[in-house]
Amino acid sequence: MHLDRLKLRDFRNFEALDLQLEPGFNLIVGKNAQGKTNLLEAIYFIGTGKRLRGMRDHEAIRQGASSAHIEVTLAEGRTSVSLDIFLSGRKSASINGQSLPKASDLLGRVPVVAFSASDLPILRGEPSERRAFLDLHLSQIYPRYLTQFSAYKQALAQRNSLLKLAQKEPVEASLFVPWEMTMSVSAEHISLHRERYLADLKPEIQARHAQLGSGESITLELESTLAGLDAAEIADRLAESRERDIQRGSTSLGPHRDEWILCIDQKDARRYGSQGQQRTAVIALKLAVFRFLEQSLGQSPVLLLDDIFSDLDHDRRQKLIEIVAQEAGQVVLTCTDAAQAGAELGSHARRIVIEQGKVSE
Amino acid sequence: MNVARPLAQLIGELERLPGVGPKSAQRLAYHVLRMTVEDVQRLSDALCQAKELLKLCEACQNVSAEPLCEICRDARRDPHIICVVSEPRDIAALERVNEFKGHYHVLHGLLSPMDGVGPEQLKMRELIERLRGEIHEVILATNPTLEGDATALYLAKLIKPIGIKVTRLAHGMPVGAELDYADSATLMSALQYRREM
Repeated sequence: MHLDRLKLRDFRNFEALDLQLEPGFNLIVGKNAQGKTNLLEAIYFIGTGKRLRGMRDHEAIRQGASSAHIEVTLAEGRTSVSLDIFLSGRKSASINGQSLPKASDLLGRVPVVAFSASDLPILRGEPSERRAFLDLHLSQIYPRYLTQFSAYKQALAQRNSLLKLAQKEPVEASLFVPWEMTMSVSAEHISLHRERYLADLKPEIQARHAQLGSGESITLELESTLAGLDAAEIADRLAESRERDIQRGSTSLGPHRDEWILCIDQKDARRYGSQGQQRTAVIALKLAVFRFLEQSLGQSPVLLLDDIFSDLDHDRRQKLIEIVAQEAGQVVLTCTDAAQAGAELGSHARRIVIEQGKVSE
Repeated sequence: MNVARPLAQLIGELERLPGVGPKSAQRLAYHVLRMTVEDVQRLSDALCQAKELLKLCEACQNVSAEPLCEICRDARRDPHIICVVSEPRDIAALERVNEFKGHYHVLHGLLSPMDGVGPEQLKMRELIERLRGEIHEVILATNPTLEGDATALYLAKLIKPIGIKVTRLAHGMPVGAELDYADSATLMSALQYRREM
């Protein structure tokens, strides 16, 4: 799959933009703070409904404007997909001009995988960041995952409120049951998907790691409080943990407590990996994610690379470009210095120069 | 801004209504000033009378001017089937279809611990009380949301042991909708609860 065209209105620092994209490499060059990443952000936003960096939804809107508009045209079928973001935070999505019931229904229509310098510390970050990583990629493949996931979070919040109430006054057990039912059905679903996904990534990440020139073995493991349990068993566990959970005022088990770890040569990379090892492992992980998404969807996602070259040594940069050139379909990458990536990319890439929110080619 | 006191008061009262912001309140207030004295009197009477005369039906808890509402008094309706809804406006929706001929029960909300709503805050005791009569079926018609489902589940666990048939409204594709534009949750539920033809 590739994008033919990207149109922006009042998105970040772009007042209006109409950009033709190449099926292969698109190299976005410009000095810092000119809006290079904002272009990737727009594509990422329409693909995932999420922000690439710490941006809030309403910050997507250009100063002084009341809404932002992102529109892409898919080369296949000339489908146009658009997303409007309003100051209130409301988002509305449409396909060929027909609006969808929910903006989140866009997920999966424009498959993207983004890779930026800020992904590099994912192995050292909070468990919640690693969970978010899994959840995003799972929901791109399985729309049902997102539904189950939001049902789980909502039911969890309701159960936690009951737990806090129970600290003050007696609460009959039957009031916990409906929330725990929803939680256990969703939890089984979520755990199963997370486990299966990590298992599916394993051979792929191993192969990528080797391709990047590392001889170490890589494994991915899910650490779950509910490993291997079905919904009925999870409901029992939740019922058993009520007393304890009332004391702590929150739910002690469930997918919201899951953690996954990446091991390099059987050692937990969170603690034992060197920065170089972690970096290579994360690149391998991203490439594996890309590959698996491609296999699941039967089409190549758009690959967004945000300024990752400056953090890599010449050797790794060369290898990464080689792999991407061979396997990826459409790639949009940003770079502060054209010469830096230009030499390696050769003449494959189409250069798009960004200055002050405007394109000059 | 200097606004005459009675006007400021009117705007203030209107603003407290749900869905009325400062701008709408101002617009409504100035509109009231342009109305004739008779019209304003009628509006004011309607407000007071609605509040004075309308109570909750003793049986179904719907809004009613009499101790028993029109639906509960209607002898042509089947009193052995009770359809449980969350809000009085849900009755209006179901009545428009003109298909259901049983009685209703209004809960006036849904279970939601986050908002401090438990069984005590809802008309649940009144429902259980009604089930002492000869009831053959209870239809749980709360919304297919998390809270609606949880409330239905809680009630089902309460009612089933009494030996009464408990049913839940089906969910699936909206009539006349196109698959490609359906939201994924609806589509999945429609697949899950598909029926043989």
